[in-house]
Amino acid sequence: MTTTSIERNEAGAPLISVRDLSVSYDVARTGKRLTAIEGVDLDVHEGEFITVLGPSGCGKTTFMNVVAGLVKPTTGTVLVGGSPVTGPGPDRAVVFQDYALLPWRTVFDNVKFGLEMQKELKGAGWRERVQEAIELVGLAGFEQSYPRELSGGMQQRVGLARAVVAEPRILLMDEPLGAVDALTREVMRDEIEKLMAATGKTVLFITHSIEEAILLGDRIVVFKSHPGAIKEIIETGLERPRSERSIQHDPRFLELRDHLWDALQGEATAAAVSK
Amino acid sequence: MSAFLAAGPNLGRGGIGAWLAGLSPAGKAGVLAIEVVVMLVVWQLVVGVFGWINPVFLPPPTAIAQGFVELVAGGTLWPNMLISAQAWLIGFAIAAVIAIPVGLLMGSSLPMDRVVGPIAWTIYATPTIAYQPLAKAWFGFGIGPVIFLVAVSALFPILLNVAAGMRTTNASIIRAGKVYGASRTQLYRSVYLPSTVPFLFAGLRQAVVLATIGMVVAELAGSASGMGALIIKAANTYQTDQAFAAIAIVVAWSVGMTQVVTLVERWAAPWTRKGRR
Amino acid sequence: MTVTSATGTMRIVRPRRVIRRSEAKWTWLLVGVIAAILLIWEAAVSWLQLIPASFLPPPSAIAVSFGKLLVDPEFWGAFGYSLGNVAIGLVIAVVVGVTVGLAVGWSPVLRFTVAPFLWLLYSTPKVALAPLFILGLGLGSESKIALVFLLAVFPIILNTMEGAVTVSTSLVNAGRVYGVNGVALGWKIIVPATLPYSLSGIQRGAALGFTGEVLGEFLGGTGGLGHMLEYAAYQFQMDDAIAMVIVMVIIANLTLLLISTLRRRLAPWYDDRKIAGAS
Repeated sequence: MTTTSIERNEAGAPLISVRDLSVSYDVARTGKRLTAIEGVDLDVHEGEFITVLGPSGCGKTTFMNVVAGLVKPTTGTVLVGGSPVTGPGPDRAVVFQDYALLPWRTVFDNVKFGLEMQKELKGAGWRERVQEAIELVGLAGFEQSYPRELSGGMQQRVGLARAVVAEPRILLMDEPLGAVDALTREVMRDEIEKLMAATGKTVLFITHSIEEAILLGDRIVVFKSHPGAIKEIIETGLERPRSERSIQHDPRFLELRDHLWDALQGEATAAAVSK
Repeated sequence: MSAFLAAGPNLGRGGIGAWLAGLSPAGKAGVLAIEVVVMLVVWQLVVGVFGWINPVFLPPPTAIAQGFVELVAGGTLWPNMLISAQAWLIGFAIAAVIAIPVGLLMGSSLPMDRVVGPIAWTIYATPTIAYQPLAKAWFGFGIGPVIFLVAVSALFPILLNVAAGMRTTNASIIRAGKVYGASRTQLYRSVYLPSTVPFLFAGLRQAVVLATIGMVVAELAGSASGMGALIIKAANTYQTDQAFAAIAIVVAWSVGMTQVVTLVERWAAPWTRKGRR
Repeated sequence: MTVTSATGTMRIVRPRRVIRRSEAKWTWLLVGVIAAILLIWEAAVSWLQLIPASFLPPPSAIAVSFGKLLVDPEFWGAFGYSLGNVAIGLVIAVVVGVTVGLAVGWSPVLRFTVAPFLWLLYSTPKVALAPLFILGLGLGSESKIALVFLLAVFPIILNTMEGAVTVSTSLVNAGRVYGVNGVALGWKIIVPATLPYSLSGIQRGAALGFTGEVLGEFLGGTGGLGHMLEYAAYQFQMDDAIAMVIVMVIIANLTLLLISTLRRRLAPWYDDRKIAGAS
C-alpha cells in the first residue's frame, strides 16, 4: 500500500495552507479543557477535491469550521489564498449536513441568500445567476417552493445551489449527504462528482463513508480521534470521470477500501496493515 | 381496565374505530356534523321536553336562541358588545405594543433575559384575576380595569413566546447566515426575526384566549357594562337563557379572534403552513 | 423554549434554571434591579411624594401590611378556606380528568365522538359560567368547588388524552412482545408514559382552579382570600390589597413549583421541553 502525502504538481502556492492547527476549548459543565484537533498540517491546491474521512467525534467538522472561519484556531495558522482566515468570507461557501436552509424563504430566495448578504443584488444578471444555479442542481420548476415542501435530497440540492451561486473559490461540505436517504445519497454522489468536475472548484468534503471518500476525492485525509489529528493522507489515483458504478470493481477502489476500512478500525490494526 | 385498553387507538383494529379512521376528511366532517345535531337534539329533549334538568340552570338550545333574540330586541346586546370589543382590542393592542419589543430585547440580550425573564414568569404564573381588585381601585368602574386586565393577560404569553423564539433560533441557520457573510444587522433582519414569527403567532393565539378570560373576569367582577355585566344581570334575574346566549357570543368572539390570528399568520408567514409534500 | 404538540399547539416551557458560577452574577443583577425598582418606588411615594400614598402605597407600607397579615388569624382562616376549596375541586378534577383523558385517548371511537366537544369546551372561556354556578349552588363552598372543578378539569383531560394518544405504538408493542398485557400494560407502560402530560395539565388546571375560587369569592360569599382582597381594595386600603396580591403571587408560584418538582421527581426521564399541551 502506498501512502503518500506528496504535494501535487500544481503551479504556485497552495490555495489552503494549514500549519500546526490545534483547537481546544473549555467544557463549561465539567470545567475540563477538551482538545478537538491537534497539530494538523495540510496543503490544498486550486481545483483539488479533498475528502476528509474519520469516525464521528474526530474533529473533522471542527477542522472544517476553522477553514470556514466559524471557529478560531487555538494555535497554528490557516491561510486561504495566502492570507490568514479571520472569519467567514465570500471566497468560501459551506454546504451543511442539516441543509440549514431558511424555512421562510422559497428555493429561489434561499439560493439568492449569499448574493444578498454580500450586496451583490445591485447589478444586472443576478437573477440569471440564481436561476442558472437552480437549474444546475436540477431544481428547475421548484423555484417558488418552500423547503418544507421538498424532500431531504432536494433540500440539499438547494444548499448546493446556494453555495455555488456566489462563485466561491472553495466549497466546504460538511457531510452533506449524511442526512439524506441511502438511495438518494448514491444518486447525489454521482451528481456532486459531475458538478465539481464541471466547475473545477476546490472542495473540502467531510464524510464518514469510505466509499464516498474514495469516489469523490483526489486525496483522502484520514482523521483519528482523541485527540483529533490527521492519521494519513492518501492519493486515490482513480480516473475521472468516476461514478458509483464504474469504480465498483476497480481493483484500486477495492484496495483503497480495504485499507481505509482497516485504518478506521483503530490504531493497532491500522499500524500493522500499513507496514 | 384491560377491556378499554385492548381497544386502544394503536391496537384497535376493525370495528367502528377503524371505520372512523378510514373516513375521508369530508366524511369525518359529516359524522361530526351529525354528532352536533344529535347532541343538540338530546339536550333539547332532556331539558326542554322531558324536563329532567331544571331549565333555569341549563336552558335548552331553543331557549338560548330565544334568549339571543330577546337580547337583540331589548337593545342591550349591541352597546355591551361594542364596549367589550373596544376594551378587548385596546387592551390587546397595548399588550402587543409592549410585549413584542420587550420580547425581542429579551431574546437578543442576555442581561435583559436574566432580569425581565424571572419577573415576567412570576407574574405570568399568577392568575390575572388577582390583579382585578387593584385595577378596579385604580381605574374606577368603567372600561379602565377591563383594558388593564386584558392587557396584563395578553402581555406575558406574547412576551415570553417572542423571547423564546429569538433564543431558540436554529444554531445551524445562524451559522449559515455567518458563512454567507451576513452582518450583525443582516443576521437579525434575515435570520432571527423571521424565525421568531411562528413563535409570535403562537403567543398571540394564547394571548387571545387569556385576554378573553381576563375581559370576562374583569367585567363579571365589577363593571356596569360589557358582556360580563350582561351575563351577571341576566343571571341575577334568572334569565339564564339570555346569559347563555351572551356566553355563546363571548365564545364566538374568542374562536373568531383566534381564527383572525391564524389567517394573519397564513398571510404573513406562508412558510409555516403544513407541507404539501 | 417551545414545543409543537401532536395537536399542533405551541407552548412555551419555562427554561430550567441551572445554577452555575456564571449564572450567579445574573441572580445578583436581578436582585439589584428589583432593589433599585423598590428604592425608586419608595422614593417617589414616601420622600418625593410624586404619587399619593393612598393610591400607590410605598413598599415599606406594603411590607408592614404583609407582616400584619401573617399574624392575623382571620387571614389564616381565609387562607384555609380558599385553599381547601381549591384542593377539593382539584382532586375531583384530577380523578375525573385523568380517567376521562385516558379513556378518550385510548378509545378511537370516544376520541372521534367526544374529543371535538372536549376541545370546544376547553377553549371556551368557562369563567363566564361563574354567575350561573353561584345562582345554582348558592354562596357557600359548593359553588366554588364546582367552579374550581369545571375550570381545572379540561386542561387535565386534554393533556392526559394527548399523552395517551402519544404513547407510541412501538412502546405498546414492545411491552406486548415481552408479555406485558392487560392491567400490567396500563400500569407499566401507559401510566408512566402519560404521567408527565397529566401533570402538565394539572399544573395548568391548578392555576385555572385558583382563578375559579377567587372569582367565586368575588361574586358572592363571605370568606376566603379573594373576598379579603376585594374588601381591602373596596375600602381603598391599597397597602393591604397589594399585600394580598403578593400572597396570591406566592401561592400561585409555589403551586407551580410544587407540581413541576413533582413532575421532575416522578418522571425524571422526561424532557420538559417535550411535554406539550395547549395553554
